[in-house]
Amino acid sequence: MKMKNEEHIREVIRLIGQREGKVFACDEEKTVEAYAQHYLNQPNAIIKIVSIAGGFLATIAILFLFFLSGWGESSVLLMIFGAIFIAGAIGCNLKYPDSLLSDALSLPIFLSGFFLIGYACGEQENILCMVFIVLSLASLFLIRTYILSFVSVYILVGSCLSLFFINNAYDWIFIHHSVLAGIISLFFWKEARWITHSPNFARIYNPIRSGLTVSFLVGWIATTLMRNVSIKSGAFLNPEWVWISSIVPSALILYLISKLLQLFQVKSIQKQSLIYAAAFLLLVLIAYSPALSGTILIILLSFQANYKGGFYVSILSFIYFIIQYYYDLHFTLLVKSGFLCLSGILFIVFYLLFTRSKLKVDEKI
Amino acid sequence: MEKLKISRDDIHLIAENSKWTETGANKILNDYVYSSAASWQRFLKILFISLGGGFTVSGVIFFFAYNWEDLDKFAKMGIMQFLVAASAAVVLYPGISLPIRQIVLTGASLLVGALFAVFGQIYQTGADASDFFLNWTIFITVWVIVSQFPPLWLIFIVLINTTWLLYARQETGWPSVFVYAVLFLFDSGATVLFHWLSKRKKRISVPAWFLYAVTLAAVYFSTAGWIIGIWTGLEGDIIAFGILALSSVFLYLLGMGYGWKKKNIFYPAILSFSALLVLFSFCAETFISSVEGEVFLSLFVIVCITGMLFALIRLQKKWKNEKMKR
Repeated sequence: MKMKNEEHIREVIRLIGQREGKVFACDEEKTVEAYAQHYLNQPNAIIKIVSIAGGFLATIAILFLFFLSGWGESSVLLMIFGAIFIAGAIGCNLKYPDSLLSDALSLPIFLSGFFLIGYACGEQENILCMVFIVLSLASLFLIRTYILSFVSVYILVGSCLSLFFINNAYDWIFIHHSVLAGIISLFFWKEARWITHSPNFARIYNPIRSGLTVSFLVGWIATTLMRNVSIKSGAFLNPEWVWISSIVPSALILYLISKLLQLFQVKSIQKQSLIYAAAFLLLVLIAYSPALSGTILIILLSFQANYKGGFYVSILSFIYFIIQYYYDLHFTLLVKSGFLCLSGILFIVFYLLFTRSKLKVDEKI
Repeated sequence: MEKLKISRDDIHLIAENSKWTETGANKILNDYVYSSAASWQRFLKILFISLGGGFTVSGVIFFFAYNWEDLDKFAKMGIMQFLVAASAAVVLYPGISLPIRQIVLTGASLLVGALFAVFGQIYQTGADASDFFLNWTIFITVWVIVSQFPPLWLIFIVLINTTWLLYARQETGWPSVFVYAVLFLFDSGATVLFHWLSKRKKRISVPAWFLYAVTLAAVYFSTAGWIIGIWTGLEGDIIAFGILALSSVFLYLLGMGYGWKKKNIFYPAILSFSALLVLFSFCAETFISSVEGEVFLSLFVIVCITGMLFALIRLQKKWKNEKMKR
């Protein structure tokens, strides 16, 4: 079986070499070795989950010890130890980049470091967020393994979003979500550029992509929850302007549709404009629930890139946001039922358009 | 010649160890990894019809919800009964594929619950939640057995568990250890039963995820029962705790042995994690009073988790190697 693996990767290298010609130069032995390592090291999903759960327990134990020793009183000491923990975790990560165990065990130390520094910042929440942003960004440049990179991205995006929440700047949250949607789309579409840039970049592409996707979706969950809370408490949020957050995702979805039309070789202007019009109408209907447009964007991006994890997670989020839509107090049930029926009919129209005309395109191919 | 299957991991690995142009890598990704026009077609077809159907149906439901208060009680019951009868009729309609029948049957089973809920709401029977779940469970039993559809089996098991939990909480003052012990025995019994079924009766296929889900539930209840038993000590229900202790030790060993034989890392991982949690709570309960005890506890937790993860990962690698050599 081992021989089969080796042979496979050598074949792939040969094929690429054939296609690329002289421009392509591969360190074949190193690749084969890394491939065998990678194949052997593939951890079971269960192991990953148990590792992370165990990591959390260990984090609590470490922090418990720390505060027990009375060192928790001094901010300076907290910061020093926080920095040591984070540096230690990254160092461990750099020394053993291939071991799942070191990845899993450096996670609690890494998180404890952040927790300690956060605790030292105390009441000054803005400073806390900015320190976290700087630290996670710096860590991202150094870390080479999956779990730690994923967590760093998550902390980075989460801290950015928290800045908005802390300062009650709900009206401006659309900036965060729009920028993030743009970054995610770029990241998905420029995969080749990223992985050919440098070896380290190729290593951390997957965790960064997962981190961005998850933090985007979770960010939306947090935003919608906070929105419902703040509407009741009468905070700054102006519900009328919710649709602004939908602009960027909707534009990106339309762009994606244009690429799809290219893929399906839909030439007639008539068909194209019909599709764009229907899509636009649909996106307008959904605009008042920007979480939905954002989630649909991720669903389409994940499918295009054949990224199964993101695909399933975004579908689950989609179902969640639909259910949450039911509880949105801004519209009456009658209005919502109208929206749903209209969108439903539009989708069925899409379906009929699709099965009737695309089949003709297929025959031409 | 069959087209070579290049995975995304292959491409990333090669990119890491070679000099490659962006356009070249992009072409390979497009040809071998990214979704093709054909997959897009399949996906969009399914997407449009499910969203179209789902949204329209939801719109109709929302419309009814809006007018629900104003409906006559017979109209409400009539609608619910019609829905249940209609979906049951669809299941019997000839010419529909089996998976669709099973999904519709599952929908019908859920609608039975909705029917009873509406009934309780209209007549304010004051029925306890456990009664509602009990009735729901009983009335879909035949459908569950007939369906041969694992998701429906899972819903059924969840319903039985919920019925028992609510009954124990609301009607009786039974101690938690007893309640959880019974749930643990029931769920592990179900796991064993389905394992036996999948081995003996070839017609019935029991998917792995289903067994894992039921096992997880069983392990959850035994862990919870143990922890509560440890913390309530001698004031709690000793007999129930004794039964739980004996049966869980026996079943855990059985599970470990089974996982060992099948070289499946799931059972050793989950069972040892559960045992570790129980051990930790035992130590916590014993040592919580003294400072030295707390220090020992924290260190103990860290060491044990590290050791367990180390052992599990080694074990999984070993089994993976053995499986590959076969």
